[in-house]
Amino acid sequence: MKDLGNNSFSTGSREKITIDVSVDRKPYLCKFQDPPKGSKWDSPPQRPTDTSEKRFFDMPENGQVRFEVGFDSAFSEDDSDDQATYTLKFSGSASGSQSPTRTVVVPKDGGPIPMKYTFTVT
Amino acid sequence: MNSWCGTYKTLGAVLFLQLVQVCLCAPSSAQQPIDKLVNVVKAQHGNTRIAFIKAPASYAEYLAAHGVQQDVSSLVEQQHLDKQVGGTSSSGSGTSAVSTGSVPWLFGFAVEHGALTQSVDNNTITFRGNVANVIKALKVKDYIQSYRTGQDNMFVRNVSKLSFSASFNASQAGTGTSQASGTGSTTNTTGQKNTLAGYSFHFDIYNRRDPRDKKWDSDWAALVGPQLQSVVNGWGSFDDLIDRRPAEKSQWEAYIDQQLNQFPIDTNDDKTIQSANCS
Repeated sequence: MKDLGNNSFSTGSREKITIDVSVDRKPYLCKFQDPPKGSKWDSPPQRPTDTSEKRFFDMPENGQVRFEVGFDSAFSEDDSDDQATYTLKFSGSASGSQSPTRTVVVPKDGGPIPMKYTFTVT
Repeated sequence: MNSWCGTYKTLGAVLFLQLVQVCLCAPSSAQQPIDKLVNVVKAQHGNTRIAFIKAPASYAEYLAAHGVQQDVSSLVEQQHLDKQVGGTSSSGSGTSAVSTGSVPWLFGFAVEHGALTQSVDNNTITFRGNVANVIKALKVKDYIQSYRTGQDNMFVRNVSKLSFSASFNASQAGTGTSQASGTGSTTNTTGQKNTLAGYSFHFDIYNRRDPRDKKWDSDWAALVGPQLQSVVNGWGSFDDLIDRRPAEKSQWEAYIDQQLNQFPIDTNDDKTIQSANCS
């Protein structure tokens, strides 16, 4: 897998992609488009823990996989925090694969935030 | 029917382009949804910011028929029972520290910035604190960790429910009054400068207000999970719709690239938004 910038990645054919998501404060409110366009999540998806989740999918022989991810958070009135930060770590099964990361910040009253991620076989 | 659908889709694509233009061209003080969009963009960094700006789904909310997107967390919070021991403070120079009805969890965290929180109401200065949280925050710097430290220890958990405050009159003519119902507070209204106007203690018998509380984990998953999943899948469908209009999509992407490329690297967010004002 190679990071193409923004939220686009190039991959090898049939490469297995892993996504680790974690948040720096509870509650964990992150949802992946199901099913992703062009593939499917390894079933059954791992159940999210308090603050993290791991997702897998296989790239097709050719073509593209894309999906939306929604990020949200919740704050109490007397909470001095004003944002939650989600960190996504992408990794591929191919040798020499990069492991790019992305962060998504959900400001107070800013969610849910959509993010689209695109993986293309090259 | 087919004709209507075609018209609808074309109209949707046109609306999409126009509304995106509106979002970019409107000043940040405009409608609330646009302010929200600007806040989200400003909160992101690097690749994520650009990706968000260029993603059609970022603007899907503005195409919704009635712009209905309920803030579920806020609704839950409003419906939540939060019981208070004792009454609230009176207005004016009220000196009770318990007017919000909850022991603010972050008192302890505030120790890093001065040990206590401070508020000023007219001529009354009120300092508030929570002994257990101060100790926890000193010991465990991480915010979530400090919260869990409290949850996993019965002594700390119970002491955390006790908070205190002390108020001082900073004016010459003291008008300090406070009510003491159930809070153990006393008052001093001698009218001298910087006198103790009152102090209080507050003990939470029942408080599950923090959304990070373990009690709500399953509720968050059950209540918000399906709703958010539905919204996310809707964004995916919206992407499909946009992808079926390649000409308009290319036009949109070219427009965004043009707008983004014209800004100098060292510009700040406010300048960027102003520069985009219908240039």
